[in-house]
This record gives sequence, structure tokens and C-alpha cells, in this order.
Amino acid sequence: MRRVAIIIGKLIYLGSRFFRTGGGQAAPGYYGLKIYPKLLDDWEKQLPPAIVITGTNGKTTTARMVAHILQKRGLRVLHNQTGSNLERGIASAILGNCSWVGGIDKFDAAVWEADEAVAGKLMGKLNTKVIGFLNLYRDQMDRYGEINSLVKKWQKAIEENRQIKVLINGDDGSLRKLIRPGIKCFGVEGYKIVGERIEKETEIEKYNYEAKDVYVDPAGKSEFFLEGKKIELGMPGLYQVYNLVAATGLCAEMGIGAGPEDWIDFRPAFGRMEQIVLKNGTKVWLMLIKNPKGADQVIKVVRDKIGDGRLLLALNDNFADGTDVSWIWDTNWEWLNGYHGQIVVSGRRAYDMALRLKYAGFETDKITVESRLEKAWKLVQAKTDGEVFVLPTYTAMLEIQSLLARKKIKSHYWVNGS
Amino acid sequence: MKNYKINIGYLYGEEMNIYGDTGNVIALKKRCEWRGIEVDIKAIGIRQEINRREFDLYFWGGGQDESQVKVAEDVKSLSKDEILRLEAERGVPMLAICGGYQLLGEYYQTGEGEKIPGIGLIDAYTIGGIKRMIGNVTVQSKHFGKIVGFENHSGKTYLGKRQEALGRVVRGFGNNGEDRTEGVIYKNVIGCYLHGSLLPKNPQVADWLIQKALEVKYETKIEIEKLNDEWETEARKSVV
Repeated sequence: MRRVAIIIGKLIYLGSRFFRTGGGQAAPGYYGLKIYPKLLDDWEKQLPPAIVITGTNGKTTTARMVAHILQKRGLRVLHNQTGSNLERGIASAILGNCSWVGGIDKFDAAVWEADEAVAGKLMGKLNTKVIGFLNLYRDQMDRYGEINSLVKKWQKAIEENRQIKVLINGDDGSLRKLIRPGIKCFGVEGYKIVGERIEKETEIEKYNYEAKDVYVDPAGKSEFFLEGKKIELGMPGLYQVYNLVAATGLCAEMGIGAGPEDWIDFRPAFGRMEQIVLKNGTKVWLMLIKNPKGADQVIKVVRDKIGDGRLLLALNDNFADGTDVSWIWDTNWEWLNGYHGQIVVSGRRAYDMALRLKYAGFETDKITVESRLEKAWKLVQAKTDGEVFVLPTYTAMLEIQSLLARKKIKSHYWVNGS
Repeated sequence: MKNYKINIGYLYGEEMNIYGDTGNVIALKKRCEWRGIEVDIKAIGIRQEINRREFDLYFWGGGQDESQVKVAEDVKSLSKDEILRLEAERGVPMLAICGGYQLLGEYYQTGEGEKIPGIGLIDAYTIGGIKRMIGNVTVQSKHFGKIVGFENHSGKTYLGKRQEALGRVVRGFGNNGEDRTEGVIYKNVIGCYLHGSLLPKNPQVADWLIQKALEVKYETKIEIEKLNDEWETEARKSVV
């Protein structure tokens, strides 16, 4: 059955690429595992040494940062770069890169982004050498239940896999329970995350990897010192600093150093904070939103950059978006009150979003509700000097990516380049 | 409206505030402001006290199990539980969601069999279960018509025979997934499992709470003006 699973998985992978139906992110692995549930388990002995990254926000970007460094050092890296991070997503990435009989032999290392719910389970199965816990916030509570039970699962998994090096965000109070002798910490000097708040003191005595003298320019870049060297990052937001420090720490734990010169040509992952230029010259920012903490950070960036630009919010409630949209009520949309342009709201739960904005103090005639994403997109993509900011939830982002690919505006998402 | 003001007591806003339930407080505040009614919101946290007639409306949201235990202990201190019961009897409106709702009852029994006492405002008890009841909910209620929301709880709440439920479950699990009831309504107190948030999508409930708050405070019948709830109606449709 294993052979069948692999063949079918590979066929689905190639088929979805050929017919451009979905990038082969999850379907190959989904069906492969259905046919042969031990698919991932059997591969363990062949999988290259891996760095696993998990947490609520920043997984995809941090994983890309790690892969970026490893590739610069000449390593051939296996990586679920599309961001599909459940078991099926990892299996799909392998199916796309193994031989027809399931052989994996041309990779030196693997970088796996793993969803919080499965990281504990998968940690011991992927030939993991280092695992990074980036942060833990409420995210799609309908999928995971409670934060505390998740931390307990992680604790247990760490105990059962003592051979794996662990790196955690020392600034995040939710991860405090994971601290034990031997664990390494990364963070940003002077910051501490408490629940949803950032406070300015820390209990951890010594950080192994810490960003110091951090300056975040709302217009789009940050500067800070890491291991004594000054780094300039062309991506806005304090959370990107955290991602870079985490990535540096993870590589260092694998014996690979990373310096300022390595980050000059790093580009963000699709949709997380991606800028694309349309044929008509319009610049569009795609910024994924999925939980209050992450959305708040995105909102801060938009607030500082938008000026006279346009804004499109797309809220879906499919499984991958989180079926409970209550989170938008814990998000600080009020911070955008300084924006006086027209806001287009779209997605399956467009009216929930419109309501949220109404209650956030926006005038109702400044809000256009258009549930159909394709039509909503038409409203914002017309030629303009200002920049267009699109804030979609996960499946809405996939729809937009599809839209853009169909109209041949940018390369489709599995081609690694942005 | 002539110089009306409502003081809202936000119970345990720091400790029990993880499912977007703040949206209810936002909705109450805005719907008052749009009518020219002044609103003051005060958070009531651990070791803080409340006084009778201090608040005209109470809100109590949902939280993680750990916080709920801490809160259950604290609400007994400084006679908070007694004051809440007295105020409820007096007619002060309250909205309690999920964890807050559970604590209105006699007790909450954890998975290990430990009974955590509630404030005994309503005749109800909750048993912590294993199965999580999650999903969109539609409730048909006598007072408010159709109510929609999203539930996410493993606790099963059972109401006493004479305790009126908020409504009947049309779609979803409701109080316990067994008797097709959802929530509770007693005097002007509403408890339920509906996140969403509840009030933005069900403005008729928000307006009822506001009206009751004003009537009890100013001791006179008050009509509040209708607002344009077109989007609220549309948003409800996307849940159903």
C-alpha cells in the first residue's frame, strides 16, 4: 500500500501543477496518508536532518529565512515552503520531491513549518535536530481548544525527545512552561509578551540569541544588533525582527552562522507580507491576517504606510481560516481610524467585517461590502498612484493568488520567487 | 436622549476575555453613543470590589479553564457574589457568556470531579465534558426571535426545571447537546454560550439590555430609538 500511496500522491502532485488547480500543497499528502497512514512514519529514516518551526505567528517567514540561509551555504533543502503545515502538507512536500518508489536522497537538510496542533506529534517523526517555538497566541480557537493544553502537549513531546535541541521565544509568557535546563532562548531586548500585551521587562536572565538596540521604522524597515553586528531588514514590523532572530538561532544550533550580509536579498513569503506590482503599475501589498495578535501588527504597518492608498479586507470562515470569526472583535481595527478612504470588505463573512468596522467608528458610507472576491478585487486594482493594501484570511488569500495567476499578473505561488 | 448615562461593569475583562467577547461591550458602548447615551466602562478584576447601584449593566465573558478557577475564587471575596445576586434581583441587566455564564450557576464540575462553586444566581450546574461542542448556532427565542452565534465549549450546562432557557436550539449543541436548550434568561440576566460576538449580530438583545439598564436606573419606562441594523441582519444571514 505504501507504493500505491506514493504513486497516487505523486500523480496528484504533478496533476495539480499541470492543471494549475492548487499548487499540490495538501492534496497529495492528504490522499497519500489516507491510503497508507504510516507514510510519514516510514520515511523517518530517510529524511534529512530537520529544523522544525512552530508557533502561532511567523512560521512561514521564519522557515523561509532558515531555508534561505541553508541554501546560501550550498545545502539542498527540503521544505514545505507553501506554508501547508499539517501532516498532509509535510507529506505533500516530500511526495513532490521523492522518487516514484519513495526514495529521498538528494537533500542535505529539511526545514519544516509545523502547525501548533501537530508539532508535538511530528517532532519525533521527522529526524528533527532542532525545534523552534516562536510564540503562542489564541489562533482559531475553534481548532485547538486551549492554549494551556497545547503547551502541555509540547512539554510532553519535548520530554520524550530529549535528543532534539529546543529554542523558544523567551519573551513570550505563554511559553514559560517549556523552560527547562538545556533549552535555548531568543528574544528582543527590552520586550516581553504577556498574553496580548507587550511589556518592557523580562524574567529570563540570559538569552542565547537577542536583538539589541532595535529600531523599527514604520515606513518599512528595521535595524538592530544581533551578536554584535548590525542588521538591516527590509520588512516592517517588530515581529519580523523576532522571526529573524529565531531563524539565526535555529541555524546556529545546527552549526551554521548567519550574518548581516545574508539578509540583504531575503524576500518574504507569499501573502504574509508580499508586495506585487500589477501590469498597470499599481503596487499591491498582500498581508495575511488570522488572529488578533498578528492582525494588530499588520494593522500597525498599514496605518503607517497607507496614506491615500486603498484597502481591501477579505474575511472567510472556511476550515483553514478558522470557522469562528469572533477574533475580529479582539483586533484593534480602531487603529485605522486615521484612514479616510473607501474600505472594501469581502469574503464569506464580509458583513461581519463590515459590522466590525462600523463598531470601530468608521462611517458606513466609507465601507463598500462586496462578498464576491473577484468583484471586490476589481474595485481596488484600478490604476492608482497610491498603494493597495489587501488583508485576507488564508483561503481568501489563496483565492486572490489564483486570481492573480489566472490574469498572469505574477508567477504562481509554487514557483519560488516573489 | 436627555443626558442618560450607563455605567457598565466589565467583570474580569483581563482574565476572561479570549473569545472576542469584548465585542459585546463594544456593541453596547457604540449603540448607546449613537443614541446620545453616555457610557462608562469599568473593568472589575481580581481583588477589586463592586458596590450596589454602582453599575447599571454587567458583562462577564468567557475564559480559559485555569482563569475560571481563579475567578471563581475571587468572585466570592468582598461579597461580589452576593452583590451580583442582589443586583440581579433588583433588575440590573447582565450578559454572561460561556465561562461567565457557567459561573452564574450553582457549580461547575471539572473533568476530575472537583466542584467549583458558582455564584448561585441561577438554578443551573455545569459538568465538564470531553467532547468539545463547536460550531455555528441558531437559537429560536421567545423574547428575541432568532439569535445566532458561535459556540466552543466542553462544559454541559443543565438548567433547573423552573429556570427559563434563553431559547431553543435550531442548529448546534446549546447548553448540553441533549435537551435542545441554549442559555438562560432570568429577570434581566442573560447567560449563554454564544460567541460571535453575540451582540453585534443580535442587536435586538443589545438594545434590550440597554433599555433595561436605563429603565432600572431611572425608574421610568424608556423607549430608545431604533437604529439602522441592515448590516446586522445581513451578517446573521451569513451564519444561518
